[in-house]
Amino acid sequence: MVVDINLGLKALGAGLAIGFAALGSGIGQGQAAAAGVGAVAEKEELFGKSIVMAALVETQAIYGFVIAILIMVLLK
Amino acid sequence: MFYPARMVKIKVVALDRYEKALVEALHELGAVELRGSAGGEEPEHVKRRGRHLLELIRRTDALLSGLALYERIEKRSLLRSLFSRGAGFAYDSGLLHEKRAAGYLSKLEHRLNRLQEARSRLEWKIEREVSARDTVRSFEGFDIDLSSLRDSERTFVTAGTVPVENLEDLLSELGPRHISVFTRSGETHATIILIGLLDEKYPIIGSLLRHGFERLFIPDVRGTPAELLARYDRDIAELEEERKKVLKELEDLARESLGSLLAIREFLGIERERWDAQRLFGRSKRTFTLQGYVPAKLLDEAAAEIHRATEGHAVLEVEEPKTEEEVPVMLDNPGPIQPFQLLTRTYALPRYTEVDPTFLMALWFPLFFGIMLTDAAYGILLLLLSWAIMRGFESGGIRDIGRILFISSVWTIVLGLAFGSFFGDLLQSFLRIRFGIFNILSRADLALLMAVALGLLHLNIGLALGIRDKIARRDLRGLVYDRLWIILVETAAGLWLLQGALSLGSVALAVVLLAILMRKPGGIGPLEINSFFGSNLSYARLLALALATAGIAMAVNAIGGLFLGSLLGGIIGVLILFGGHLFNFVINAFGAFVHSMRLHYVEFFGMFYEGGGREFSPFKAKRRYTKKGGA
Repeated sequence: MVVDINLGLKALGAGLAIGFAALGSGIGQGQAAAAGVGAVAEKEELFGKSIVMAALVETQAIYGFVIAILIMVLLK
Repeated sequence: MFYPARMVKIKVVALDRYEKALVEALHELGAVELRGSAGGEEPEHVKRRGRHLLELIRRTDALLSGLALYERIEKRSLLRSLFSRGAGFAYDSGLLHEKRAAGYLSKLEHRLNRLQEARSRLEWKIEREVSARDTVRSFEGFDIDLSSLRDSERTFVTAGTVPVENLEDLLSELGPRHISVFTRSGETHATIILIGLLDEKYPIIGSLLRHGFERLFIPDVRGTPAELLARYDRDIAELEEERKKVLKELEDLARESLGSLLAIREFLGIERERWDAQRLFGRSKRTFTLQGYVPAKLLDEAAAEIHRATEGHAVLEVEEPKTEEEVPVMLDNPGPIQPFQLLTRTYALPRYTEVDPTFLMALWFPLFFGIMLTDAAYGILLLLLSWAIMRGFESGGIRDIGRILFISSVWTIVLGLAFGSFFGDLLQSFLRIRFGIFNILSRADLALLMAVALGLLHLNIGLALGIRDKIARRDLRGLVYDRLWIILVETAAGLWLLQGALSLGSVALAVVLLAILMRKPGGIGPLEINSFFGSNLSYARLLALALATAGIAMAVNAIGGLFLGSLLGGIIGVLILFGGHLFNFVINAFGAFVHSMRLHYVEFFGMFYEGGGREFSPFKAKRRYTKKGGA
C-alpha cells in the first residue's frame, strides 16, 4: 500500500489547527455560558445577550476551521 | 423606515374643569408620552383621591389573593393558548365605578371573612375531636365506662402499657396488693387498667415501673370506649361534611366574583395611572398645563382628541424637539419588517437621530440564516414550525420570532435547492438524484470565498452608514480614525490582489494608512488593521455552519444507510435517520439564528451603530378584561 505522506501531514496539520482552536474556544465558551446562565437567573431579559456573548467566543474556533480548510485546499 | 418615527413636542393649557375629560381621552388614545411640567402644587382633592385609589387597589389585591386559593386564577398553558383565545371572564360593568366598586369590595370582604372564619372554626373542632378519639382508642376493647375510672377516698386508678412478655411476671409480683386489674394484650404491648388501695400506691407504682410501664392518660368522658369511638367517628364525619359545604361555598364565591374582581382591579389600575399622570401637570389657579411627546403622524389625531375633550377651550402648542433633548424613540417600520425590530431592540434602540438598522437586518438576517442552514428539507420543517408558532401566538416576541423564522425558512429552502441539499445528501446517496449548482462539501474553498466576499459587502454597507453618521455629527476625528482608514486598507489590499504584487500605489497607500493609524490616540492604531480583517474573516462562519449542517446530515445518512437491507435493520435505520436529522435540524437552526444575530451585533453594528435611545412609552390604558367606557 502506498501512503501519501503529504496528505497525511496536511490532514494532521488541519486537525491540529481546528482542534486547538476549538479547545480554546470551548473553554472560553464554557466560561461565557456559565456567566450567562448566572445573568439570566438574575434578569431573564438578558437571555438574548447572553447567547450572543457565548457565541462571541466561537469566532476563534471558526478561524481555526478556516485555516484547516485552507491547509486542505490550498497546500499542494 | 430608515429612522425612528419623527416626534413633536406638545404643550396644552386648559381650564381645570376639562382635566378629567382630557386625561381620559389621552389615556384611551395612547399616543402621547407625558412629561412633567413645572409649577403649582397638586390640589388637596387630587392627593386624597390617590390615597383612596391605592387603598381600594390594596383591598382588591387582598381579595384576589384570598380567593385565588379556591379558584386557580387564569393560568393559560402553552397548549391551551395554541387552541383558544381570549380570557372569557364575566363581570358586572356597573361595578366599574369607584363608589360602587368600594361597596362591592366591602360586601365581598364580609362574605369571605365569614366563610373563612367558619372554615377555620370547623377545622379547629375537627382537630380537637380527632385528638380526643386518639386518646380513647388506647382503651378500645375494655367494656368499662371511662367515667368510673376515677380516684376515690381510699382507692386510686392508673392505666398504661407494659411489654407483653413482662405481663405474667408483673401480675404475679402485684399479687393481692391491688383491688382489680383489667388487661388486654396487643401484639407487643398489653394495656392494663389497675385499681388499687391508696395506701399501696407507691409499692404498686414501683412494681409497674420495673416492668416497663408507660402511663396512659384517662380522658374525662362518660361511656365505654366502643360507644365513645362510634360517637367521635359520627361527629367527625358530620364536621367534615360541614367543612366541605363551606369550602364549596368559598369556591362558588371565588368563581362568581373573580371576573368582577379582575375587572375592578383593571379599572382601578387605569384610574390610578390617570391620577399619576395628573401629578405631572403644571398648575395655576384655574388652569393646568400638560407637556409631552407625540409621534408626528399621530399629531392630528391627538389634536382632534384634545379639541373634543376640552370643547375647544384649550391652547395647543406644537414644536420640534431640540437636538440636545433626549427624545423618546419609537421604531417605525412597515409590516413585514416589524418582527425584526425585536432583534434591534435586543441589542439597543437607536438614538432619536440615528439610523434604524431594522430594515437592513430584515434584508440580511434571513439570508445569513439560510446560508448557515442551507437544506431544503430543513427549510420546509422550519416553514411548518414557524407557521405553527404564528398560528399559536397572536402577538408578542414569540410571534415575532415565528415570523422571522418564516422568512428565513424561504431562504433556507431556496439555498438548499441551489446547493443540492435535501436532508443532506439523502436523495443523492439513496436515490441517485443529483441537483444544485455545486456541493459545498466538495467545494469548500469556493464557498469560503463567497462567504468572505458577502461579508465584505455587508461590512461596507455598515461602513457607508458609519461614515454618513460621523459626517452628520461633524465628528471629523472619528471619521478619519475610525472609518476612513478602512477604505484605505481595502483599496491597498485590492490593488495588491489585482496587480499580483506590491506596487508603488499600494505601498504609498499603506504608508498613508500607517501614518494615520499611528496618530490615533492610544498608540495601538495599526493593530486595528488586524481587527478589520478579523471581522471580515468572521463571516467564514457562514460557510462553517453550512458545512456543519451538510456534514452531520451526511454522517446521519451514512450511518442510517448501513442498516438498510433487512426488515429489522430497516426499522433501526429509519429511526436513526429520523433522530439524527431532527437533532441536526434543531442544533443547526439554533446555531444559524444565534450566529446571524452575532454577525449583525458584533461585526455589522460595530461599523456604524451605537444605540442607546429611550423607548417611547405613551400614556395608554392597557385593557385585558374591561372595555373602553366601562361597558
